[in-house]
Amino acid sequence: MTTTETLRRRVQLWFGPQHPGITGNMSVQAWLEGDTLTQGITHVGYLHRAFEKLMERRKFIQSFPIVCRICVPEPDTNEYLLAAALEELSGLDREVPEKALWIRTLVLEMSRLAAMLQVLGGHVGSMGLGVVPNWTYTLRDYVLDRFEELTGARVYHMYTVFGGVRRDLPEGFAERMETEVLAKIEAKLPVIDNAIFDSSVFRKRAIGVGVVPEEWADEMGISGPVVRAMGIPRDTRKDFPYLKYPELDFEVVTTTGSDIYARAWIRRQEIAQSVDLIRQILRRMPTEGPYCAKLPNMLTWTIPPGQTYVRAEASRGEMGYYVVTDGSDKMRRVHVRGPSYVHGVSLLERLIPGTNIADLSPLMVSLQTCPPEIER
Amino acid sequence: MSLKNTLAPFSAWMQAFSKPFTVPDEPGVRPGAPRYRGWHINDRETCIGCGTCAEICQNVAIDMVPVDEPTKGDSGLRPKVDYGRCCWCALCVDVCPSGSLAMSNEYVWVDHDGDAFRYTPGVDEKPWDGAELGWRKDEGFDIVDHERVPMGHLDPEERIHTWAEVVVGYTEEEARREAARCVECGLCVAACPAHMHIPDYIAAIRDGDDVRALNVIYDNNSMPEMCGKVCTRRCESVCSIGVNGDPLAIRWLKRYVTERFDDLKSVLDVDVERVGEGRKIAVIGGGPSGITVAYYLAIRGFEVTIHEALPQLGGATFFGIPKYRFPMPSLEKQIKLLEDAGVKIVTNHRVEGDELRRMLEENDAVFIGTGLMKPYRLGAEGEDLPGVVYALDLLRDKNIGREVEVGERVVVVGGGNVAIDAARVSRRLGAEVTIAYRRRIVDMPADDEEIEDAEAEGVEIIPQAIPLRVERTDDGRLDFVWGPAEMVPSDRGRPRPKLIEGVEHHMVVDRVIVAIGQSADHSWMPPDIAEKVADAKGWITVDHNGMTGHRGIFAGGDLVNDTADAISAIADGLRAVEGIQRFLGILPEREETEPEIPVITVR
Amino acid sequence: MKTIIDDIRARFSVEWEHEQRADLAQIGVAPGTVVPLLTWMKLHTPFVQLNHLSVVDWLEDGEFQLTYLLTDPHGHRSLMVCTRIPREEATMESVHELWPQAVTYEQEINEMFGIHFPGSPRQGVPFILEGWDDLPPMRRDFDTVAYMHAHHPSRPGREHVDPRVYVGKVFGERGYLHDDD
Repeated sequence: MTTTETLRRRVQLWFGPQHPGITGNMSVQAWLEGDTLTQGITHVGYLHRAFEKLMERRKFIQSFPIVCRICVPEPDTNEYLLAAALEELSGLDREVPEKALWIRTLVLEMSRLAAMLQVLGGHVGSMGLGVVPNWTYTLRDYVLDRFEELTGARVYHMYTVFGGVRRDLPEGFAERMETEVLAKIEAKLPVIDNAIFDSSVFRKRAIGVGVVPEEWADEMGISGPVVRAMGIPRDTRKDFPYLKYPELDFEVVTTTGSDIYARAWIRRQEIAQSVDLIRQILRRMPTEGPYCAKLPNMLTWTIPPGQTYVRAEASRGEMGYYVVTDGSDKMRRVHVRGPSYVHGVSLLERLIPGTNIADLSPLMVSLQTCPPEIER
Repeated sequence: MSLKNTLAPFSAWMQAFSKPFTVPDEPGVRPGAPRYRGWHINDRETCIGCGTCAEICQNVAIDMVPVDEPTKGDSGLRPKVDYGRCCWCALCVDVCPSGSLAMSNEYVWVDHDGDAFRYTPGVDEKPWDGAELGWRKDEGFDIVDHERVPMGHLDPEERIHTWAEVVVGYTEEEARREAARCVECGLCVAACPAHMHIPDYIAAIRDGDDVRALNVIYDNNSMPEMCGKVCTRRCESVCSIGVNGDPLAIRWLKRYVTERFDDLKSVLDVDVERVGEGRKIAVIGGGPSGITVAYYLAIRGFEVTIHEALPQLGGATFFGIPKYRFPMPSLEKQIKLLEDAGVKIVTNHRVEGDELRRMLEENDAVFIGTGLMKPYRLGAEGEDLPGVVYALDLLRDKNIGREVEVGERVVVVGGGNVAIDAARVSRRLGAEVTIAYRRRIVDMPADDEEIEDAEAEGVEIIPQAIPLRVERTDDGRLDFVWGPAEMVPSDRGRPRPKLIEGVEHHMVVDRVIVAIGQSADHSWMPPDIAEKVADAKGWITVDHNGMTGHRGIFAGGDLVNDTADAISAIADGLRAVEGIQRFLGILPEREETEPEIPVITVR
Repeated sequence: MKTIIDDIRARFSVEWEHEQRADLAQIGVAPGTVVPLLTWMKLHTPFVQLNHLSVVDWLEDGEFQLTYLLTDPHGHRSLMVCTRIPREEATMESVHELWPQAVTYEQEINEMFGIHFPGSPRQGVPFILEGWDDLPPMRRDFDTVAYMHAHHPSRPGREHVDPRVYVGKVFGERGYLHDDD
């Protein structure tokens, strides 16, 4: 056997389930020829806590502390969608007060911001550039400080609930948001740009790598930064407007290239967009009025039979909740459709052949896979 | 690759001179946010042990553990949190009906013992007890419903011209909605003298199963339609939802269900052995206690005869309570159930002379529930003048259909439900009515709603008014003379009224109606028996079986208890139902041991 | 939405329809209609995207409901196509040839509900579970609490007293209509 033949032999490698890059506990069973991947299969289940099943056995109000756990970096999309689905099926949606709609929009944008800061750091972190994640994680922590102040918790907020939100905006919140978070992020962005987008290392490793063909977008239901990096202006906030987004002034960010660089760039732009949206929201939010509708006794609340699918734009793409009620005090079925379900399995597996092993981590990060939302 | 792309990343070095992001990791350096959800705190005194926190906890992290003696309105249980399961969602805090449970903003706690992270807040001392900051219940967010579904009432203007029922009753939709407010803690069960299965029938109403609800209700109350209309509802006074809101309308819910069915026998699922076949029981007095004894013994095969002095069963609920509160058809329905159960009813029959002795010989046991029929006297000069009448007599005459006349102007002396009834009846008879009461309105023993209804009907209430005397005026009317009182502290708890000397008020009226209470009358019993049954003052004490000092004579109702309401009478009746069976050896004698605490070992 | 449903009705037999929102309609069809309908929709209508495939267990009716969510990504509207199949030996035609991501959905449904999709590439291959030998766990007759007690015993020392029962016992709550009370 010659040396070349040895090198070209097919090697099977388990990539994960410990954090590969920062996409959480999943693993890719990969086959290599030399350092080129020939095939990959996504394996999940390491974070399976049977959320959907648990919720079938719990009252509606008892389900609400569960859903945030479906995505650690961005729990609020889940909380909002569960509330939105059950409000729609129960008719409570007509009673959600104006202020609650604004606060919900705020919370969703804050969580998008926090998640995008995290993943932007991850983009470069997965290539071995540790300094940028230090910054972005700290900036994310500043967002979490405000979450702690608003919701009483840093990571699992358990804040958006049927009828509105659980607590009012604290006094002076907008000012602290501006000085403690938004200004600091804005000050840091140029430095981050220098360290990422102007870095020849990053450019070399990201441009032209992990290209997703545009024709996959429609049939596979690709969404979020991945689809916008193809130049397609697809954004649930615009396409299926919800909450106060129709009243806010923003454009869908797009670019071309559809590679890792393009996706990182979209996230960088959307961080700035989120900062701007949060300012708009805080400026326009009503100061008076209730923040939650009058709720019936949550221990005995029943919802008439029905089914619906609601969606919202998470930082990763379109997140959807399919909820079926049967007239009882529990959900008959709740099915969480996270963007990772497509991005992290079918799409990743289609992109892997031909990819260099060193690029697998950056590729997974650029698809922003969140394993718990795959296995729920 | 441009030069810029090569050099630009080096600008990161500039950051080496900026202030570090990190903070030192020392205790207290970074307190949790003002509404942070940290370790639990609980106010042991305010907590009522309703267990709603444990009920809502989706992680089953909360156990209720016995801490204090159970009382009416407080189970004595307190929540113990297992932090191995807690997810800090704080639903327990948001749902807490008493508002005692909260979370501190403390989040740092290190211990080598895993079991330490399981403690009873407010009972096991912790450094964060009494923390100022942390997650608290907030007014704008409520996950239980504190607002009662309003009950319709006839318009006051309209109702003083009619004897129709004042309370309209819940519709089906309203009843289901009201029932859905219940958190099923069960504290009400303790407060109800008869310990009715309240959460269970409310749950059945909520689920739309009225037949089940009716069966649960009749399981330990055979006059619930009456209770549904006029009960003193001690249950509602301890309702956990009532601590910070309107208590469940337990009475109106019972009323809703009991009114739904006409033929009770066909709906009730009775499944008891006829252990009393061949045994005879005499019941003297057809009030709530006697009816209870008769019904539950009759379905067990006992041959029961009720002897009633008035033309109709019901006792005080028949002759005392006005028909706009408890209409005749409702009472008749309850009596029909007795007849269907095989109870023999003898009305217009006052037991006298040696009859009781004969009954004792002919029956296996005798139950006495004759109530309090002798009104207290006013104790003021002029009370024997014509026109000074007793409320009980007035109400009875009206209820048995006699012509009653009160003139144009009436004063009622007293502050209990009987006084209010007399006042409202007088309003319907066309009189202007004033109530004179010795103490303050808040001290009135009458039901708050009754007081409100009376005032809405135009009854004037003069509090702190002490009757001095009644005089006859020249034109044949009555001059009711009263003096104002001031409230002075008393060593018996509530302040007592003290007459302010030298001030007299006059009120010219056609009737003075006395409603200051009543006492028992034992003159119908043979003296040698009466001696054993009652003490020298006329008080009757009974043992845990409801038996008096005379073997085979059981007693209950107003005669025996000091609460003098129908539901207590029913409770006495239930005690006698068991007591009589024990006395006859049908049931084993009760073991006087501590009640075994049902503990569910986890979950 | 009305137009597309009329178009569908012209070609396929629709059991029921319901407009949930302006941008979300629902239709019910027979199991045999699903694949021809979905094929037609993907090839000839703007509803080219399979967003979601889900199952609802109607245990009482002995049926599974399959819900296919199709989206028109440019017209911004969705159509939910529902069908019911018998629970016993549940089998459904695969749509993986229309949409590659359906493989994952069908693999998961196969694992979690025990519905078989003949021809779908990853049937019987574990997706989320590992070494599972019990009832497919998302079926409603799978008892999660019993499973938990059997496999993950609780830490000892937890004793809960139910206030409702406790209060009744302590204060002597009794019933008189039934002997067993």
